[in-house]
Parts: sequence; C-alpha cells; structure tokens
Amino acid sequence: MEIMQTTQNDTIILGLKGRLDTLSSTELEKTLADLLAEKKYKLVIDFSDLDFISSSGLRVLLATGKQLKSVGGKIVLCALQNHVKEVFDVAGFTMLFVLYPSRDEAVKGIA
Amino acid sequence: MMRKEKKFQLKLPIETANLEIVREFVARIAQNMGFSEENIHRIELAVDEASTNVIRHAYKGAASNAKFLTVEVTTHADRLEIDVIDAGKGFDPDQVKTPEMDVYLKKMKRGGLGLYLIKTLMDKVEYKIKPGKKNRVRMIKYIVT
Repeated sequence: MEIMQTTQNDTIILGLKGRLDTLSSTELEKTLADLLAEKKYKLVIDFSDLDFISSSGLRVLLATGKQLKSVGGKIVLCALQNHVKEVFDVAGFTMLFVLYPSRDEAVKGIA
Repeated sequence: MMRKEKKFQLKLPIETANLEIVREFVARIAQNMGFSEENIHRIELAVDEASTNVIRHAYKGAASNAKFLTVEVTTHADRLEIDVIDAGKGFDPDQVKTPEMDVYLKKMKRGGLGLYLIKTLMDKVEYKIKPGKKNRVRMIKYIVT
C-alpha cells in the first residue's frame, strides 16, 4: 500500500492506494502516530484508490479516531469504493466516522 | 451436468506478508467459478480475516518450528468451500464474543471483529477444533445463479 500525504491549510490529507491489510496497517499506524505526535489534529483519509480493508485497518482508524477525539481533533474519510464501504457498514463503523463522497467535500467539511 | 469437485491447497509459513498470496489464491479460484466481483471481495476479506487470526493468535507461545497456515479450497457445482487450518492451540468459537461497537470503541478489544466479518460476509461458517493437532475454520459461499 502507498500513502500519499498532502497538506491543505491546517489539514493533512492521506491518500491510500492499494490494500490496507494486517501488514500495511502497521505502516498506516506509524504514519498516523507521527502526525499526532506533530500535533496534526485534522486528518482526511482519501480512500478513492483503496481496494481492500480488513479489520486490522479498521482498528487503526478507530484507535486514531479515539485519540483525536481526546485532544479535540478530527478524522474524516472520503471517496470509499462500494465494496470497502460495505465493510464499514457491516462492522458498524459507518456510525463512528464521518464519510464524504469526495476529497473536496471532506476538506471543506473538516475546516 | 454437475461439475466435478476440485481441491486446491496452499501451505505457508505464518507471516503477514503472505496474506496477499492467500487472498489472490482464493480470489482466482472464485473468479474462475464465476462469482460476482462483489462476492469475490467478500470471500477475499473472509479468508484474510481467518488467516490473520491464525497468524496472530494460533501459535502464541508455541515453539518456533512448524508454524504453518494451510488453506484448502474445494469447488463444488453450487458453492466454494474454504478451509483455513492450523495446528496451534485452537479456540472456542462460542467464547469469541461478537463485538458491540460502543463497548468496542471504549475498550478497543482485539478479538471478535474478524470472526464477525467472516460470519456476516460468508453464507456458512463451521469450526472443528483439535488443539495442537488440527484446527479448521470452514467458510462456505454459494454461487447464486
């Protein structure tokens, strides 16, 4: 999996490309932990190029969401493919995250 | 005419880097059987979760040799059967609790979510647990035509 990081004002956007499984979720976990350590508290995760997510990936997002909540930060997700969205629905994670259809809307929404 | 059943087997060391191989192995077979893309995604996730459970939990505390994960796939005319097998310590499927999301959010408990996804995405899940010998999670998906 590739992680492409961009910054827009005070928001960090992470574009995920490929497959977020048990192996690659440790990479994402580290990237997110580094951002939190740098006090980057507004995160958008762009899922448009993500083809797969497993429970390991869901857990990393959940842990980050929880940490951000405790410091008054925010994480939003955008552009989930239908089959990835299904995993969020089934796991009940749709209720835990704010999802936007596109990156632009997510960046506007988090501002 | 009934298609003859076919068996495929993959045996791998328990490493997370091998999850991709397992997913591709099963996805290719499902594709050849004519499963929809939607269902191939579900099957891939189920086999990933079952294999991840083996990699993470099955051999915890065991000696370093003989830590393998075996994936056996049997194709039938109407269904795909995937067995994920290990020789680790086994588990009691009834004791694996389905996560309640608000509790889950508070405590971040590790177990349960993978099995919950498997049960939801596949048509049938069966367990045969013989600790230290052969533990098998069988996942079945029917082809709907």
